[in-house]
Amino acid sequence: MGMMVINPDGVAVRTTMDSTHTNSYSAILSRLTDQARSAIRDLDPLNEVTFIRLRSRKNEILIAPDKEFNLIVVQTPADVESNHAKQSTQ
Amino acid sequence: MTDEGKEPEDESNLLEGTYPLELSLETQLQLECEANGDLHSQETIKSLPLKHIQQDLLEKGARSDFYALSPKIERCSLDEVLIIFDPTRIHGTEFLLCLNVDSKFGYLNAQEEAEARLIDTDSPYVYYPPQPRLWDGRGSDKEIEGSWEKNVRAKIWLKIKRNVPRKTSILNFTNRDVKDAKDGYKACESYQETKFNFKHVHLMDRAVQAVPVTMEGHSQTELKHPKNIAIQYEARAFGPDEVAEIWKSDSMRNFLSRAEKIMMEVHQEPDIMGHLRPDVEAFYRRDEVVVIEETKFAYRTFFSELVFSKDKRITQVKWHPKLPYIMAMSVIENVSYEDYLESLSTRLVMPNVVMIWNMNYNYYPQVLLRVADDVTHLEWHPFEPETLVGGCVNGQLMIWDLTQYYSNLESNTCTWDHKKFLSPQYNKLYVQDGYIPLLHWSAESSKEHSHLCGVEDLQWLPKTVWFSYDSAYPKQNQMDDELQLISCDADSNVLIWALRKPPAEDGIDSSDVEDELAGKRKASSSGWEKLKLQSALPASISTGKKYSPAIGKYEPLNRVWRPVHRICFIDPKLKFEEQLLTTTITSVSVIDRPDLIIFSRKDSTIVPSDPPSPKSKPQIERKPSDTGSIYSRSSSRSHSPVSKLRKHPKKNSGPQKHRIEVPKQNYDSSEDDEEDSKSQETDPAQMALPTFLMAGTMFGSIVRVDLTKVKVDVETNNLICKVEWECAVHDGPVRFMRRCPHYEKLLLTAGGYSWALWSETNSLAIPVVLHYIEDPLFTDVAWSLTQPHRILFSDEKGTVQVWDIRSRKSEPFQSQDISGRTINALTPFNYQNSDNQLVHYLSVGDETGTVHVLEIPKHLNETYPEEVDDLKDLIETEVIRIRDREKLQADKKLATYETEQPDETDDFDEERRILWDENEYLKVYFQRERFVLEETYGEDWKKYLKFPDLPRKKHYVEIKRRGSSEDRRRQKELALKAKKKKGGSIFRK
Repeated sequence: MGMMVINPDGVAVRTTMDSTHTNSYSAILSRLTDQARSAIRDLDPLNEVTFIRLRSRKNEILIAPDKEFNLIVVQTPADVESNHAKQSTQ
Repeated sequence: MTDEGKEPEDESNLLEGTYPLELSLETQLQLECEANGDLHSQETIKSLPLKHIQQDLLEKGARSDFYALSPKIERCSLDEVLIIFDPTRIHGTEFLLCLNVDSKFGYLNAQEEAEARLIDTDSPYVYYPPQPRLWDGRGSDKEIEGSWEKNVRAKIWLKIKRNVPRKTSILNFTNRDVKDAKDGYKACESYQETKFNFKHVHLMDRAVQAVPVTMEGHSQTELKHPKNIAIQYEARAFGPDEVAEIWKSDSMRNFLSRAEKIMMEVHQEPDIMGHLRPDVEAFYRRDEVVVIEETKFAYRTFFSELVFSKDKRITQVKWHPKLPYIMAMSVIENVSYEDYLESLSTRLVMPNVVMIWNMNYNYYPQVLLRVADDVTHLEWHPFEPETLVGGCVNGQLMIWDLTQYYSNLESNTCTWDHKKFLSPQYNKLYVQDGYIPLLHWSAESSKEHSHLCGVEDLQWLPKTVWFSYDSAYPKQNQMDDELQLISCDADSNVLIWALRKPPAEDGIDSSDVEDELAGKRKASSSGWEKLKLQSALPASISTGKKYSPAIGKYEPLNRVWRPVHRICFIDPKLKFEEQLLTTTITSVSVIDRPDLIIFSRKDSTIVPSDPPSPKSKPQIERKPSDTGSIYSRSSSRSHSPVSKLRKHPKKNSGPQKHRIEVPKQNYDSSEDDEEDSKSQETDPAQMALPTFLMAGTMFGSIVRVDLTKVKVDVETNNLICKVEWECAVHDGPVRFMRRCPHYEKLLLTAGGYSWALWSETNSLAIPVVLHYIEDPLFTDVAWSLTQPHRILFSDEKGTVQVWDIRSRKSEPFQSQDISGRTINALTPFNYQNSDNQLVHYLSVGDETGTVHVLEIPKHLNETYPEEVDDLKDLIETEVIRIRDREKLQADKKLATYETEQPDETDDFDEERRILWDENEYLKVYFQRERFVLEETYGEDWKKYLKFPDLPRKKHYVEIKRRGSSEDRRRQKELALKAKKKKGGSIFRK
């Protein structure tokens, strides 16, 4: 679906998505990234988050957090659709 | 008058250019600035043109009030000067004179400020923060309930006043009585008007209605632009320069390389859940309800009897035509036929009974039917629901009359009481005590006239067909409720039975028959005693002195019942000698063709006079028109004997009376009674009904017979039919012939490892559909009752197969193992269950003596409209296809026959032909190939060869020797020659 590079403040440096999606994704996912980073740091101060992979019914979000930038990839894997169909039947 | 002394003191307060001044009253009036008149404490400033002052100076000179200030006035450059009235005399004088611009505006500003006086500029501003206080309601806290009304229109206001005339003169009023004057009182009495009458008085209704005019109003504060510090309106974004800068930076490059690496890693494993996925999916599906449509035959119930049916082979299962829960079932010992015949002498006297079952009480049969011998075929009477007909192993036919128990069967009540006869004290097994009733047959056929060996097939004739004792020809059935039976045996005899008492036989009085029967009864009585003991006969019967086993309405038929006709067949293959068909007939099926009657009537006048003689070559392939004429001939001819019977009834009296009327014309005779045929056309009852019989033989062939073309053997009274055609199709005995219930002209035959479909719409002597199967052998077949194109088969291994006619594959559409034991009886039936739903069942009887009842799955009983038509179309197209193929083959045969003739006469050298084939052809081919390739590809033509491995070099050798252009021309010629040669003329040089 798209990908974007954002700085730690949640400001997009480069994006392939439209502006509304970019803003919402960057704002919300940077919060999540911070949360995840702090969680890992709290558990072990020497540890660090390297990758977050979120699987939802409709798509999959891949976040690669780094010191200065975060890379966010939103993709639709092939088996998500069938998975979605299966889960909707229950 | 100037006060010089005070001037310097006040000069500090005075603005520059302002001078105190005293004005005399005269000057004040002259300049219109009178103190406390024109000028007062509220209006202290008056603007005055400078000219007026200068003029005053000129006129008065030193007397002038302005004289003291004259040098200053002279210097003044203003057009207008100000005279300021100072009532408080701050500067000592009453007036002040402004001769400067600054002072003039200073005073004017001071006056404006004094006039405004709104801002208290003197007191410094102090901020008081708002204090919290109680809500001071101004009305907004009140709920306005309902609507409020207000008069918005002005009401019409009228003031009506009597116009009082003005009295000019003074009147004096005095008291006076009516009586004082003569006409003091005048009364206007009411009286009846004579001139007209009120006939009707209308009262007018008047009403006033108030119409409220409602208005709605509200006031709401709207925050149209919610703008404050906390809300951000635009997302922060980098400008293009910033982006470019960041993009070029080393940190971004490092980050991207790291991110790419990790992304690649992630994409190695596309599934985030990995091996956990099945577990997770199972978790999600834990409450899922999966609806699977049943596609298999579902087991419903079974019938099995420990005493009477266990370990015996079920031969027939027939469901009642009217009561869908009643079933008749016959069993025989589960031994092979040869063993069975061998054991006949040593077998127990008690044959296997026929059982009547009720589907609702499947522990025990409802009624047991006594039999003369083991029954192999059963048929319910379609019109008489209490009548059951069976064919026995010994060749007899039996009739049972279930009237006695029919009420029980019909009302779905049980005939026995299992509580009683399962009690341990119970040992008598009598019907009165609740045991399963045993019913004796109503009639058995006379042994002399029955089949000599076991009944192989038993079918009802079509209800339109009726064979009478008098005539050899099938007639239109005039009775609505009677049917005839047809049965066949291994001796290639087909018997026609009517459920009627036959006419007495020649030379034997009916009393003799009775005596004979009585004697037989006596002889067999000892045997019967044994039977009674074993089979728990009702006490009344077993103890009764006079033994009369047959009961029911067919009792008079008992032991005198004989067939109407016995039909034998002539083998069509024997050309010169009439010989009976010796093959064993294993199954029969009869169809009537009333549609052909009309055909015959039309054609009866144009019948060709020379009939085909039986000695002529058998016509296997007949054209439709040909067969039509034959039918018409046979039917028209059949009239003659009947008509003669009617015309000369007395001639046929005496011993001949009940003999079969012998048709005098045979096929050889060309005599034709035109008059009779014409007179008979109007009476359909006397006309021979075109009836055809299809029979399957032991050797797997199908035989077709026209039952209207018969001869009567004088000695035996047997009818002799000529076989129309015989077609060897099956590789085993034809065990089953079943008419399609939806389309009666379609006949299914099965035998050995094959089954076939035959269409009787036209005389096609080969099957329409033919399928061969592998192991195992078919044991029973049945048409699906709902779907016209589905056929059910059972086989030796206990499998039920479903075949689809429409499929061209020789394999079943669906097959299911039922019991693992050989199935012998397969009967589909429809059952109305308690919910009033029609359920489609299939009963399967196997060799263990158990009848399994299976529910047919939905996809095998769903019907669609026009399915029967589709089937008909399919069969018709198939017939056309076969006809075309036959025609094509015949043409081919003819063509080859014709072409072969000249070849034989031609002096044709076989060796030459072969030689050319080998070498010449290859040479020509390769040359041509090379020529073509060179033309298209030039020098590199060898690269484009399709099969480079072929031995070309041998054939190129002689071509290479020649020049290239010459070569090509030669090649062309050669190629042309080759073409011509290919045309077929090379052999005739």
